[in-house]
Amino acid sequence: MKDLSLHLLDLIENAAKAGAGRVVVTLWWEGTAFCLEVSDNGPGLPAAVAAAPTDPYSTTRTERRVGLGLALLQAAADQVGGRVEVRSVPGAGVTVLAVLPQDHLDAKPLGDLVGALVTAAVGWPLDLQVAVGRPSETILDLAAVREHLDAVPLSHPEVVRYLRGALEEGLAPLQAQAERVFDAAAVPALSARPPPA
Amino acid sequence: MKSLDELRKIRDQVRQELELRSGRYRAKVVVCMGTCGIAAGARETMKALLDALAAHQVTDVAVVAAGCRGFCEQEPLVEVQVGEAPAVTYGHVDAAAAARIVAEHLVGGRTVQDLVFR
Repeated sequence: MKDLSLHLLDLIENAAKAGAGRVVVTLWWEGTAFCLEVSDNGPGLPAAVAAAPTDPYSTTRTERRVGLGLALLQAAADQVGGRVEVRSVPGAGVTVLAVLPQDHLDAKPLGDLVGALVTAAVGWPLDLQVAVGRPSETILDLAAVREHLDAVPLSHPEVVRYLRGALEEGLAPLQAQAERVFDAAAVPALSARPPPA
Repeated sequence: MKSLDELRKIRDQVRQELELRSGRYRAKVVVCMGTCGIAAGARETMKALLDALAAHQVTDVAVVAAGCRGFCEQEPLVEVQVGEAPAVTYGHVDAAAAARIVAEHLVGGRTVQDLVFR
């Protein structure tokens, strides 16, 4: 996974495949750490997987006996001193929280968050809700969008344009903060390197 | 949150389009979006498909996601089903391939033979 937006898309796919109907994505900054939380109302993890959710050999997959999604997210957190928490309640759902410091030279960029969320919104039949900040503000609620659209599919070009616009507008402050964190941390670190001989 | 009023206008416009063609979508495109697909570029594939459909003004094709089909080395995988015809599965569908699938298969009606996963 080359950036954090792909991990986010993967977490939403996990919820969709588990049979969740509603997924709440919350994104925010804690200082220089980017935080993402994906919470679903699915069946929760089987006990064996819940015991070691980020172990690649502990998986709900049936095509293969390896599940890399959470393992790769854990690796991304480990390489920057962050953390991943997985809370599963049987019959009530799963919440995955990732806290990912961005003032680290090995930090993955946020990536195309808008593209990832549009893909999730269009692709999966979920009531996806996206919120930003703490306390959080909802920037997209697909249940409300569907109610207004009646039977019009979310993949209709005009609806895709609407979704992109809503997400670009709502995520702009988060993206701006990412640039500030990068400028404050990475640029001084890079310029402190000795000049080439 | 962005105003939802805009959606009502879209709904009314699309309803008129649907009435013109008996309220049915003529094709479905499935993008495999498991961890393997995402890592291989399925998000960009989905975006390219949606962009190409919009560019060709195609509004009667539904695009949805699916999980891993077990052929991870072929990702991104895209399945196209037009009407009652058998579904065609394409492998290694990057953005350029996605644009070809829209132009040649969904608009032109011809399977893109060199992209078919066999």
